[in-house]
Amino acid sequence: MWRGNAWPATLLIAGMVGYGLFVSLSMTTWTDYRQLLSDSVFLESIGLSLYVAVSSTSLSVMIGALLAAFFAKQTGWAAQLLAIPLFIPHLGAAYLSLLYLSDLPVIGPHEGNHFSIILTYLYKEIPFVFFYLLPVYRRLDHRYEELGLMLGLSRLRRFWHGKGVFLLFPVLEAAFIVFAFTLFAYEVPALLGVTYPKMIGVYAFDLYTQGDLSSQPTAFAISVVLTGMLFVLLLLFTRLIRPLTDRISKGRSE
Amino acid sequence: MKPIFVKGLVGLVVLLPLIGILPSTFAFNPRLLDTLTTTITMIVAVTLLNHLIGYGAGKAIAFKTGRTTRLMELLISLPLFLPVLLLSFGLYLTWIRLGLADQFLGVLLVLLLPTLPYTIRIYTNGFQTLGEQMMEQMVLIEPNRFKRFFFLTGPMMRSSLQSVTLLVTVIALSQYALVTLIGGGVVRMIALEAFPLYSGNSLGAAKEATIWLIALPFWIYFVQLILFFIWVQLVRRLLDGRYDSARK
Amino acid sequence: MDVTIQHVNKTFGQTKVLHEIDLTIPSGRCVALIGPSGSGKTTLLRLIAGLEKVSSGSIHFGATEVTRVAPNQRGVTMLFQRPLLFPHLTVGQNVRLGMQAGHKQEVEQWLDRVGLTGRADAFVHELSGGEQQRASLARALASQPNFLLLDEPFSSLDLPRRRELRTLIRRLTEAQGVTTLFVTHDREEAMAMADYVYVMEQGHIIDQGKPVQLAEKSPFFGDGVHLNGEWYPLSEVKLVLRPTNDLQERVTITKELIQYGVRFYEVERDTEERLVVQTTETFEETMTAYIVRKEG
Repeated sequence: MWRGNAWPATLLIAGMVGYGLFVSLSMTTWTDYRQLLSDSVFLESIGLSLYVAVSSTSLSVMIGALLAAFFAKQTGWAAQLLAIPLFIPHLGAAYLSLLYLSDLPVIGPHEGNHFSIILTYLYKEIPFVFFYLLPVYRRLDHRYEELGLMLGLSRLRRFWHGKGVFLLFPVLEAAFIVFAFTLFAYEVPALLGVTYPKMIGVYAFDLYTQGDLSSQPTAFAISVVLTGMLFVLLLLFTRLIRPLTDRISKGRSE
Repeated sequence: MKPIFVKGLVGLVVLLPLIGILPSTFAFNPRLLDTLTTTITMIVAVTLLNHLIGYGAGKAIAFKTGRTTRLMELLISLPLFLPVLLLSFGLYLTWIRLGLADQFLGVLLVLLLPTLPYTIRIYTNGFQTLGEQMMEQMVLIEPNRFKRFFFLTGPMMRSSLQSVTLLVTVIALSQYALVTLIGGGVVRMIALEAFPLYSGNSLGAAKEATIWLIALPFWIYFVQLILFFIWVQLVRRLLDGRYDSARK
Repeated sequence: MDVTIQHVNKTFGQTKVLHEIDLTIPSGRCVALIGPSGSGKTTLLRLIAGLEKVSSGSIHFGATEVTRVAPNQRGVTMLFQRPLLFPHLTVGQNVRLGMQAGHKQEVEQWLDRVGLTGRADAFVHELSGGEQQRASLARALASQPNFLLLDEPFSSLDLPRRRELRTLIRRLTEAQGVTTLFVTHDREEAMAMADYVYVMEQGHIIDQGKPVQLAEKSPFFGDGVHLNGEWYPLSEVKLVLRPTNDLQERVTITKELIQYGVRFYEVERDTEERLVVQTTETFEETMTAYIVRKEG
């Protein structure tokens, strides 16, 4: 059959994700969760991670989207320059940060405001968002906006009906991916972050690998709580937005 | 803003940071040889598995409809939205039970988690751009699936194939925590060499490791370009030959 | 409100796509612009709508010059080749979009008029292609335009749907007194819809007139044959059996037709084009004959 088969991939991924979650669940008890949610170190770590993830995500989505809007109208190879950061692993980008930002006050690594982490993420994630959105921008049909113009819609409503609704889902999806990654990543904050408070990925990983066995249930509890929260967020996101995207993809005139 | 200004700015911001890793000396540290062998073997294996599993899955998501397919699409994209590293805590215990912990195979399987969802997305987009009608046309022209891939689908999906290899390489290379955890420090990839050096004092060694880290994706991409060039030339030559013999 | 276009030129970069276009659309009438693809007719339409800027020349709506007026100030609206209904809105919301004060009843009246009674709450993808184009027409007319531009709005529809929509547009625009300019490459459509026809080719207007006149006299629009480089409408030629030396073209008889007691023959030209020619002579099918000019 030429239509392909998604079963192996689904079983593999769902199996590993599900089983990982299941083991984490089975290794924890109610008390672990109660302790975790009143643990100030954990809460502080979550707060810091949210700050870094939200700022990195919003900045990279905004700049990436603007660049995509700009380059969608351009021809030539200049857009390919933005592919270069895609070739560089996050670890390599973190090294570049250490190299250049070490001696800079306020920005340098190990500063409390974590600008160096955010800058490293921007270098990597802006191109990601850019290439995620470029085809979407190229597919936009300018006639929807022209129609809005002739129907006498205001500038804002013209943008929303002509472009906004077609961009909404891809932009949110790109933002979600960047957000989840920057929220939980280990390598970049482990190299550039401060000793306390740690970002959540670093905190959980260190608990699991460096602490004694008694702190392992806490690491498992973090895994369950955060996976569960993101899963709920994902379900809400798809549930709320799926009818709209279905309508758009079926109803747009090509 | 003028386009040329924006383009210049983008170029500057992207390229300028790379100056710092231009190699000053070409000394090869023999200690890295083992690590590099493991790294390259691992990357080749992960990339091949990604292509193998992702190709069919991307096609199915692009061309099949219905609830099951939509559900599979959601399940496949889960690792993009969930904390893979945290989930691997649980997997590690299972891997110990299955005898996969600290093994090449164990790391290989876990590396599929952060890479395969991207692969499948790229393939899905590629097949959607190609379109159902083009696929049907190709099925009619060449019913044998291997020949079809070699002569038609492969060359037409070239840019998707290239992006998959690049992305898988870069993501796999960057995984320090995942590989340390599952590989137990026994399966040594280049990230495991580089990471401790960054927090140490030896800047020279850190730079050397980073050069490998950054050069490998470029190098693998370049090898792939050559392979594709040969592939396409071969297809052209073979098709020319066929055409002639059919005429006689 | 007459629409007048005077000496309009348009260049994109180095290429000149419109040359000195002069054109008038009398108030409340439907004028067709016909020409092959790439002749510049869609560009002209977009200039009139204000979606592109004129390189030189002027456009007047009535006595007002609108050459540099923004599209939303011109009171024009356009039907594109595709329905372009906003896919995230219902049909009713789409129609309401252009209305000043959109009362529910008014929206439903418009949907009634285009034969979409009770479909206000349907989403775009639940409508067929023909229904979508009719909803799009309702949306365009509900915005009370002075001037309606049609950019081949039938091209994606099948023949029965085309005829239906054609009649509908004619009826509604006449009832509202909307001036209409209509771009097409289909001769039959121009004949059926327009009061007046302009023929375009490569950015020039090369002929104009009432459809019936044009069919009679225009080498670009009418049915006819070129004999030795000259064009003649079908009414001025006849079929003969013997070869003649004077202005002739050889054709093959493919079919005999008798209508109202008059004998016609369908003939095939070397270009594989088929024509129907009236004649007094009798032929067998598959015979070869000659088209010659009528004497006198």
